Amino acid sequence: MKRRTFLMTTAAAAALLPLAANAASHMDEKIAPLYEAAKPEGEITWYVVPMDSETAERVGQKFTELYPGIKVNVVRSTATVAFQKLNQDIDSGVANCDVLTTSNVAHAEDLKSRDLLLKYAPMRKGEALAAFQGADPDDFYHITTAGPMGIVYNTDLVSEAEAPKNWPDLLDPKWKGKLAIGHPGFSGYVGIWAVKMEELYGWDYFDKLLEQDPYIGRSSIDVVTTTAAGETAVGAGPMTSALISAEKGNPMATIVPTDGMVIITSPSCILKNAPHPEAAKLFMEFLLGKEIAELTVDQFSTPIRGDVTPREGVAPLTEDNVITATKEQIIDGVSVTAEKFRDTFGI
Amino acid sequence: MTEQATTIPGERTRRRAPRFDWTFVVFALLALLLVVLVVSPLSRLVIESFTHPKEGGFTLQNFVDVFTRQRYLTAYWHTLQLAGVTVAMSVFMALPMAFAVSRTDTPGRGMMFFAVLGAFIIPPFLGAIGWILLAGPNAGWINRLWEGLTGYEEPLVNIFSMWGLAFVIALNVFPLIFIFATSAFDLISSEMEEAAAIHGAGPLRTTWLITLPLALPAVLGACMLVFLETIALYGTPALIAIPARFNVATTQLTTFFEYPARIELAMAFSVPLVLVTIVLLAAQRLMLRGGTVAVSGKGGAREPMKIGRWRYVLLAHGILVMLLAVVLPAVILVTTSFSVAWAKPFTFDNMTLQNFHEILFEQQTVRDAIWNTYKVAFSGATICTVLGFMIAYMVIRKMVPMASILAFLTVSPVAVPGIVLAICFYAAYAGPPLSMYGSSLLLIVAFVTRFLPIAFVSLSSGVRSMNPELEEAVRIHGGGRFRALTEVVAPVLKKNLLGVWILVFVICSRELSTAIFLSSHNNRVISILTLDLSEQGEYENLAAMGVLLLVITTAVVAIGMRFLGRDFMLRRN
Amino acid sequence: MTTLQLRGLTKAYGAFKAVDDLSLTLRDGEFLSLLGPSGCGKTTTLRMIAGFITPTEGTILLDGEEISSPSGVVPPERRQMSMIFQSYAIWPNMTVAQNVGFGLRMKKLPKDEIARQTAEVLRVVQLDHLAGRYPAELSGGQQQRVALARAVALQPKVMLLDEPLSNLDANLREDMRSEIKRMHTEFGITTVYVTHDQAEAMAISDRIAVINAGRIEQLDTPHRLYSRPTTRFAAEFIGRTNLLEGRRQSGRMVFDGFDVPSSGGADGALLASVRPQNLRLLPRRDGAVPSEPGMLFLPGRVTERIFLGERWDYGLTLASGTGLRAAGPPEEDFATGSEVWIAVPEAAIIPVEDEPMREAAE
Repeated sequence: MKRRTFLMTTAAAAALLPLAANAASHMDEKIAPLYEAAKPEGEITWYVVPMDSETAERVGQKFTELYPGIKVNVVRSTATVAFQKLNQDIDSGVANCDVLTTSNVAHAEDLKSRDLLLKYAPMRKGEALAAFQGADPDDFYHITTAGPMGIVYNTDLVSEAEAPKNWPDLLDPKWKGKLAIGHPGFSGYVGIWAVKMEELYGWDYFDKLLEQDPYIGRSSIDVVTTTAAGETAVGAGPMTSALISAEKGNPMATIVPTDGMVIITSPSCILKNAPHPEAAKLFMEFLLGKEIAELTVDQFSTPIRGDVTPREGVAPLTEDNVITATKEQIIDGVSVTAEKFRDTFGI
Repeated sequence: MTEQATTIPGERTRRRAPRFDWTFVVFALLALLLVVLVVSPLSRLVIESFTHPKEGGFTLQNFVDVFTRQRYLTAYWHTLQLAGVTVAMSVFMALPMAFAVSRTDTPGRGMMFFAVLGAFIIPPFLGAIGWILLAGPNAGWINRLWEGLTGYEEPLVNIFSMWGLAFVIALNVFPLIFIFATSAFDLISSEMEEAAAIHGAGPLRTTWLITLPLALPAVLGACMLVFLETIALYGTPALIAIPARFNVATTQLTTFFEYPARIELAMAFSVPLVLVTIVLLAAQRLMLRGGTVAVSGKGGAREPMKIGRWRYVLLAHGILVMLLAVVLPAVILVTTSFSVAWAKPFTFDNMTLQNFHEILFEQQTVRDAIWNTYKVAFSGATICTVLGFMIAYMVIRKMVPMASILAFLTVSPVAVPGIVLAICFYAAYAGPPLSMYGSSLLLIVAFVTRFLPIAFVSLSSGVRSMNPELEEAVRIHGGGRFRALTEVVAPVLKKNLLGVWILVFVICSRELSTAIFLSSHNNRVISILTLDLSEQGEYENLAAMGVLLLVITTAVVAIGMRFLGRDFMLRRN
Repeated sequence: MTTLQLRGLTKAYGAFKAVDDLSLTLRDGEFLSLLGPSGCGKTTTLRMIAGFITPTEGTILLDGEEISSPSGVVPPERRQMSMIFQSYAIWPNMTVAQNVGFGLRMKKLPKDEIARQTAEVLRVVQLDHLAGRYPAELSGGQQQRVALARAVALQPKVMLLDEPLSNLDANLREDMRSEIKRMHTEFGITTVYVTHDQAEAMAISDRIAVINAGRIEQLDTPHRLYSRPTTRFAAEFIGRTNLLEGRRQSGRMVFDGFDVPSSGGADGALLASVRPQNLRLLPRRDGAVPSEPGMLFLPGRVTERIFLGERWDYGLTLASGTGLRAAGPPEEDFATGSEVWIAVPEAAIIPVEDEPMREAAE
């Protein structure tokens, strides 16, 4: 392990030498002292939920590129699994995770209430759009990504005209056996989406969904890949992933439901027992910074900063096309809804 | 009348101090090790399931919680259904092949052997991924072919169903029945069949009336093992049962680990699984004991039965099973690993090396997992072999009093499904004071416990087959016990040792259920990573990882076959 | 000079005594056989001498030093003994030379010395041309020679042999027996030899201990064992014999129909042995009774006969109804039903101890 790490870092250092000099000259002067403090820690472990593992790995590499000498261990999973692993760490008295980015704010709130988070007010916290600021007035966590859940469909199987226009359209019998959804017991995105669906259309919505004989993925991203493959024709999935898939050449398109996309804002937090606390703080700054925004916007994400423009195809957020859940709804609702979902769908 | 003992005059009796007996120390160390490996984790099953999670103290509440919840009971029921169907399907796959290979002049028997070996080598979760790609109801290759040929939109096969799940599991476990059935068939003397023939029974009637009934106990015993494999399996259900909305016991078990983790409920939920396992294992032993009586004797000479046209039927069956179990999943995994998008035709446009580039050079996680996998498999196989050998030697040679207790402790993990064993290890060692959660050591320790019975049983039969005089000869000619072990016993049994090592190495390199609760990001192995990444449905990268795993495993097995003969993986001990 | 002493050696498994209060002393260079039926305790005794088994009672002394007692045993590897096993126990993973040189290696001799001595021993057993072979490539007889070479190579104080010939076929057995004898003569190693084959024991041993039910019945030279058996078991186990029940009475042994002088002993019930080889048959046509000093002539009748090639085996009945067996030379031919005189040297009638009588007396 040691030897390999050594080889890796040597190789990385050699490759990145000119870049590093370049990056350093551009580095925010405010950040420089934090980098100096973080550098000796050498690495950081990031439990991340709201992006696919390829994007997450690229984000990690971008960080190492900007701050040479600090490696990022990317651990991507669904919200529930990430939280479960984190709690296993905590129960076991093992400190693994430095920064958690989760799509379920309830998890961050829960950790905060158990006094497991490190309070940190990032220097860049004011740089985000106002809508994404101040999720936690006590500065234990901060919104670092936002992503919409919308309707995705396979363009080979479904024409734009045929495609569902709103959430209840998914209940049309013509989608029976051709519909994919995620599992709120695993996915944070799907959890919040399910809470809002229940609020808007009652549990009846899910009873009818069951009759559609849906494919149930664990991750919301599975909805996109399964639909892109043609295994299902339509689904409720993360629009960012769908656009990435479409760009790769898959027959994939998104629809902004007329009753609104469900916006999931994902907070990031630093664990109190983080083994690399300074690197974690630096990483938090990085998550709020412009570089990652540029990188992820290129991957069709919805930026949380005003100084980067979303790519074409990414639906702008307006007053009347979004559905948002309140923090209270998420904290109180997701686990209850997930349990109901398990009873209804038997899994 | 005995000669009087006479003391030689002028010589006093001196006494040589007997040297300290180190075997006792070794025994004590082994016993201690087994307590750590077996007793301490397994006792958690009983302790935690009867303990109140918050207040401590004895309670039955956990069992009440488990057995009053409809969804939990449904999971058990589904598991039983699934296991029953899987057993039936695997018998249908394995029995004709075993009969063909062992008793008849069916052509292509060598090919059937490799079909079985191939099915054994493909890890269950990879087979599952292969079949999702083949038999997904809408995009699966088979169903699209079906639609293309017939125009029917209704899928021919749907992998996301109980039947599909059972089918995929059966394709993975049928080698068990094949192994037991062939070894039973091999023991039946041709004379028995000839006796039936001379009394006027044709080949079909002979088979039906004589051969099959004689092999029945062994086949039933194997069926029970298949049943147990199925109820303990996690990987395949995780990939197929969730989309199919078919909750089984193992997928239910994992939900107890969601925050807040309810270890006590997981334990209580596991108890019936362990009980079923114990009962069936006991029944299986009884069955096999009866079996050896039925097929007693030296086996006698065996002549392949001439079965005329039937041999083409058996050949066709063998080819079909090989296609389903090995060729189709392997082909789909390989093509997918080189595809841009798996559901598109495998044309030049759709071909890429990007997936391999991605897993080998882009994703640190994958490289870590590959490294971890082989680190764990290498250590696990080595420790299992050494430990299994030492215990087998002590037990068979009765070097210590109560050696049978050592033997019992060593084999007792057999009665615990892998996923339950993982929970036990999690409860025993994940947390303080050892806090081993997330370390490779914890995985190695759990794997060693799980697979030590295999090493022990196999090496016991090796040691038993050795004449103890070989070791006594070492000692009387001036070498100690340790030298007897290293210079004679181990070299003589080197093929057994190598065979066990490779077998355990291969099993470790693909084990999923024992690793499931013990893995954090630090010690993730390929099987776990595959499962984690499969959440997102990115089958192209997964297929590339699977191909890599298969290539390495096949290479190891091929090396083993080169040194140990072709059937060392499938030998029944 | 080597002496090996067993004193009151007992090995009990629960209530069963495999070896029961067994004592004997081997002289330097002596070849002693432990002879008895299977399960008599001879192998257990040998394994106690080797150090594989701890005695329940009693001690074993090698050159006056205690090497086995219930409180502990010197492990086999430190006894400076060697052993030839029933299975030969040639290590299949080592060449012939490695097998033979093993003990020398354990003694930590220098390499070239090991090679020299190994070559020497292999020459003696005529295996020098097979030094580099593996045991699997050797015949049974050759394997036996390797075992022999291995056992003598380290010049042990005591050499132990556990039924070494029982796995060989008849012809080889005789060759190997003389080979073992030759080795013993050449190296003069004190030897304990376990066998159930009395002919083998007779041919090879200086002395034989006949063992029954864990006890020594008789310990003697082969010739005395045959001619002067002291117990019923020894008499029956070594060769064939006729057992006669009678009484000792005022200095004579009295049997049904005849009596002979007794060398002494208390009056009472008596059992005597007489070997078939000691009986001679004479034709009995008229009433004349032959007489010769020291000989008994008993009238009898041939009831059955079997021709065995080198001799006749006759079944006889005395007038008293007592049955006897006799061996006759091939050229003297008595038909079934012939009336004969049975000539018995008085000295050949040997009183033997009988277990039931002995127990009754105690």
